[in-house]
This record gives sequence, C-alpha cells and structure tokens, in this order.
Amino acid sequence: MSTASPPLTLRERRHLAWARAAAVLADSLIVMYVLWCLSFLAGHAAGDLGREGWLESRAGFLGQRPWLLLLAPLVAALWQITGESIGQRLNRVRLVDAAGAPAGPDRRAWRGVVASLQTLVVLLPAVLGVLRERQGLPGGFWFLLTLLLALAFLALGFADRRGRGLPDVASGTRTTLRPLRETVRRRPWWQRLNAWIGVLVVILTFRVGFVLTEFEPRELVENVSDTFPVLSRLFHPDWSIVGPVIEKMVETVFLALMASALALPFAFGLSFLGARNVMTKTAAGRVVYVLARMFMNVTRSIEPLVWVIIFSLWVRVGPDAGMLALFIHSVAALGKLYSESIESIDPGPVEAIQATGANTLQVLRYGIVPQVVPPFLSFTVYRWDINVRMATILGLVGGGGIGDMLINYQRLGRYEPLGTILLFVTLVVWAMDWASSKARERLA
Amino acid sequence: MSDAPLIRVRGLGKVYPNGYRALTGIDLDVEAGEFVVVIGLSGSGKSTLVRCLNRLIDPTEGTIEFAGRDVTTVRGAELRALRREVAMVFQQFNLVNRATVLVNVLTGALERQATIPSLVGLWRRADREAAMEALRLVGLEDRALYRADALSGGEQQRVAIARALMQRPRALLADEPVASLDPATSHSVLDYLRELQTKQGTAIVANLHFLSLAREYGTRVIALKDGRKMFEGAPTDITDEVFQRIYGDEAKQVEIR
Ligand SMILES: Nc1ncnc2c1ncn2[C@@H]1O[C@H](COP(=O)(O)OP(=O)(O)OP(=O)(O)O)[C@@H](O)[C@H]1O
Ligand SMILES: [Mg+2]
Repeated sequence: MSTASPPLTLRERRHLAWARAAAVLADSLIVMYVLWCLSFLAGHAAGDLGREGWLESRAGFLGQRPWLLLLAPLVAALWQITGESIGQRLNRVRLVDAAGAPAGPDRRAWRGVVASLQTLVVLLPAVLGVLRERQGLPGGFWFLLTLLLALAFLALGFADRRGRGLPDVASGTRTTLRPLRETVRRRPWWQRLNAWIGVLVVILTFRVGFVLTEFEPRELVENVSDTFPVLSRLFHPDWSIVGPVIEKMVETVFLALMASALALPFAFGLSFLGARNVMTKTAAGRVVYVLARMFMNVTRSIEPLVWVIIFSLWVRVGPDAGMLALFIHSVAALGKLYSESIESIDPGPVEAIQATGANTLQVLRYGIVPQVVPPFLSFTVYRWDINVRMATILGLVGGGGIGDMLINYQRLGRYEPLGTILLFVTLVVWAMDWASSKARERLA
Repeated sequence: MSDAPLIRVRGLGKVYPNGYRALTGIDLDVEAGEFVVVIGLSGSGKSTLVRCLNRLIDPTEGTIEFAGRDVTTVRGAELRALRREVAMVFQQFNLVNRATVLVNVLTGALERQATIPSLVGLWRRADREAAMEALRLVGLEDRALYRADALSGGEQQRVAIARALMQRPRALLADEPVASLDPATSHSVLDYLRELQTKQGTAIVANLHFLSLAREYGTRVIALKDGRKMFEGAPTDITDEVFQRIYGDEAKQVEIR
C-alpha cells in the first residue's frame, strides 16, 4: 500500500468535513444531554426542583452554572480519539494514519491534545463572554464568535487537499469514510464504551421521564375500585340515542371520504413536483422541488386536530372545518407517499419513452404513471382508513363528526350514551380497517 | 451532401459529473444500411457511446451529426424529432409493463401525435394500423391485447423492436439487445434487426457481448477499450491477436450459436 493518500475531490472533501463536524456535534449533544439529565435529577432529589418551572428556577448544578455545558465539546473532542465514538459510528467516519492503517496510540494521544486545544480556541470567546457576564450563558455576540471559529476550523478540513482537519494534520492521522460494507471488529458489549454510555442514557432518560410525566404505576392498581362503577356504565349502552349516533357516524365516514377524494388530485399533481427524479434535472425544477417538499413537510407536521382549530377560525366550527383539516393534511401526506413511489420507479421505461421523441407530458403519462397507479390507489385507500379514524376525534375541537357528541356526553358525565358511541366508533373503524386491508391486498 | 454519412461522430468525449472520463476522442461514421457492432469489455464505454448518439446522455466534447444536422446542440422539439428518427432498444426491453402490447407499440408514435389526444389514449386509425403492421412484422399480432409483462423476454424484445419500427427510424441503436436472452432467442431478435437493415436500409448500431454474434451480424465492428476506439474493421479482421488486445490475455473466445 502506498503511503501517500490520494488527493480528494471537492465533493469528497465536503462530505468528509461535514461528516467529521457532524460526529463532533452528535457527541457534544450526547454529553450535553447526559449533563442536563444529571442536573435535573440532582435538582429533583434536592427537592428544589419540581416538574414545572425547572428552567426558570435555576435548580440543579446546571441551573447555577449553565456554562458547564461548554465542557461538552471538549469531552466530545477527546471522545473522537477512540475513532469509534457514537457520533463517529453514526457518521461512518474512522481514524487512520497516513498509510490507511488504524491509527496507533501515540498518534491518537497527539490528536487528543491538538483537538482539545482547537476546541479551547473555539470556546474561548464563549468563555470570555461568561467571564464578562459573570452568570448564565454568554450573550449572542460571543456565541456568534464561537460559531464563526468553529466554521473556520471546519473550512480548514475543506481546504486541505486530503480533507484533513487541523488535529489530523498535526498528529499525522486522517479521518476517512468507512466503506458501507466494511464490517467492524466488535468486542463484547460490556467491553465497549458506547454500550455503557447507551445504558447510562437510557437509565437517565427513564428517570427523567418518570418525573416529567408523573407516571406512578401504583395509581393504576390503587384506583381500580373507584373506576370500576364508571367503567361498567360504559358497558351498559344507552340504546335510545342509536338514531343520532348513526347519523353522526355516517357524517364522519363521508367527511373522511370527501377529504380523501378531494385530496387525491391535488396530491397527484403535487407528487410530481416533489419527486426528485422528475424535477431535479433543471435549476428551475430544483427550486419547485424544494418548495413542494417544504410545503408537504410543514403541512404534514401539523396534525389534523390543529388544522381544525385553524380552519374553524377561517370558515366556522363544524364538519366543513373538519373536512378541510383532513383534506389539507391528506394532500401533504399522500403527496409525500406518492412522491416516494415516483422516486422508486424503474427508470428504464422512462428512458425508453424519452428515446421515442415523446415530450415531457407524454413521458410522464406513459413512462411514469402506469408504474405508480397501483401504489397510489393503495395509499389512497389507506388514507381514507386513517381519515375515518381521525374524523372520529375531530369533533373534540369543533370539527364535526361523531367526536362532537362524544365530547358532550363526556362533559356531562353521561357514560351510558358514551358507551354507545364508543361501540359504534369501534365497529366502524374496525370495519374500515378490514375493508381497506382487503382492498389493498387486491391492489398489490 | 449526398455522400455524407448518416451518422458522423468526431472527437466525441464524455466526462461524467463525478469526474469519471468514460469516452475519449471517438471518431465514427455510420452509413445507411450498415450494421455496426460495438464490442469491448464491461465498463469500456459502449453504453455511453450509443446513448450519446440520441442524447440520452449529453456528451462533453466533440460533435455528432445526424443526416447533416448537429445532434449535440439541438433542444426541445428538434431534439424530439431527432430521437424519433434514431430509435433505441434496450437490454431490459423497458416496456411499460402494465400497458398492453399494442399501447407499447403505439408509444413509438408519440412524437408525431398531438399532446392532448395522446395523453388520453386517443390514437389515430392510421397509427393503430401501423402498430398492428409492426406487430405482424415481429410475429406478435396475436398478442396485441396482452399485458406487456405477460410476455417472455424474447417476445418483449420483439415488442420493443415493433415500438422502434413505429418510429419509422432511419437509424436504430441497440444497447446489448440480447444480453438477457438465450442463444436461440438472441438469433431471432438479431435477425429482425438485420431485416430492418437490409430491407429498409436502417443503420444499426448495436453493442454486443459475444464476438460470434458480432461476426455473424456486423458489417463493421468497432472495439472500445477504456473509452477509446482501439479497433475498427470488418468482422473478419478480428484475429486472435486483435482479440487479445481488446479483451486482455486471459480471455477465451466464447462461442454462441
Ligand atoms: N452516470 C454515471 N456516472 C459516473 N460514471 C458512470 C456513469 N455511467 C457510467 N459510468 C462509468 O463509465 C464507464 C463506462 O460505462 P458504460 O456503461 O458506458 O460501459 P459499458 O461498456 O456499457 O459496460 P457494460 O458492458 O458493463 O454495459 C464505467 O466505468 C462506468 O462506471
Ligand atoms: Mg452497457
């Protein structure tokens, strides 16, 4: 093996620099998270920290000394010399010497020293900021300076022809991307640092989680006797309201159907705009692609319940608000699923249709559409099924459907009619679920 | 310019966006009625070369002329018109699987169709008849209403040839048209291409893996190595010595009948 590593292309260097930075960032975040958990639990144990107001009350050791968080990047920098920190594993980078063999202990130690120094330099403005402000975290200006320094060091790795960062150059190591197929030599888990850190994180997370959710397994057992009479009323349905319940269920199913059906054409159009393989051939196409993706991701991340609130301000409280809410969420969700099936088509027929001299629309129609019809239909049926389930609760926030009734009886404490409603909801949702899975089997 | 070749390639080169140089300085003339076979090791640039000829790939250097027209710079409607005249068949057939055989053949007529009717599947009677005629030529008229993916590999490739016929091409490119087929079927598919070549004077440029097929069907053979043309001549000119230069010392000739 030749000793001189080959120069890298700009793209490879960019990839490498980002992967390395992402590794440090990930490790820093892990360390910060552990610090925060410890501080939270310490504050909780000392009794000066409740479930609420913990950010304001400055309890826990981080409450008094938030700047301790700045230690995290330093710890992360040292963690990097193992070459197999969690961040490094996640980003598939590894540490080798100039010849490409795993770096020896002396080089690693050197790298640790230089990396720590580099981190200290990066953190210097932040620390100065702390000293000046004497308390809390440094202000925006100092943080900005630290960020700029971090970016400057990132750029060094970019500028080096072999994509090495400063610690690499100084210690004669190199970070490279691990080939996808390379199997890593693994020691048993109890000998691995990452495993212990993982265990620590899980334990801390659950400790903090129990405090924050106030979950007491005891309650489940202790309160059974009080709950039972109420529960049993749920199982004695009030049949006198069957008529109105059926009406409302029909409304619910139609609400879901309309939302899905109206969403279909919009999602169809949008999905082509949001498919990488269709749009990214030209610069204008790329812009549209990014916009379409952004629209879908943002719209999808707002739950239908929240959309109901928005639309009930816009139109008025009622089934139409619920329908619009489901509609807009379905456009985005279906659009995303459709886009993904467009992206996974066989490019062969597309190429073949192109080669006949067909224009863009004709290529879409004959090269792409036939390939995506079955998955599109299957996703649409699935969406209707989801929408029925969603529609049963939209009424909670004024979106029409059976949920209206449900919330009213719950507020009045009338559990017998509530039982009737729950029975019908269960039956209809179950039937939809069954029908939709049958339909999708057929379409597959 | 009646004596200009149908396809005229000069100094053709292709560097892929990732910096890989796949073709360098290719010169090539193809006359109407010729059957040019391109051979070479896997990765030597055969696919890249034929895909440049109808601009499925944009070359980065050199010029290509088709019937006196500059291929490398045409765009839009002109490019589509050019592609109509330079048909292509692929190793994986690339049919629209969920459409009928007939519709697959009809897609060969898309370029001369108005957009809206073509999108809703309204084909002219003349085109339908031409499509049936093309299917008759490849012996598949009884399969017209089958779904394309119900056909065997050899039949699918014949449908692809019928689709190409539908374009009324003056040249036909074939990227390893028989690499997924058994020997007997390979011969029947290549026989259809030869019929096109001899009866209609269509110029054929085909990448083939087997030298025996190249010898049998080619009127001229060019060999690529590392993206350069390293041999050009009659099939009979490929001596053992030439063969070894193309494929390396280790290679043995595989015969396929
Ligand atoms: N899109 C691409 N981007 C980068 N490199 C490519 C691309 N397509 C092909 N190449 C490279 O160009 C070289 C030539 O590829 P090409 O497909 O033309 O070879 P070929 O002679 O057709 O091989 P085969 O017989 O295996 O089909 C190969 O080394 C390939 O890795
Ligand atoms: Mg090829």
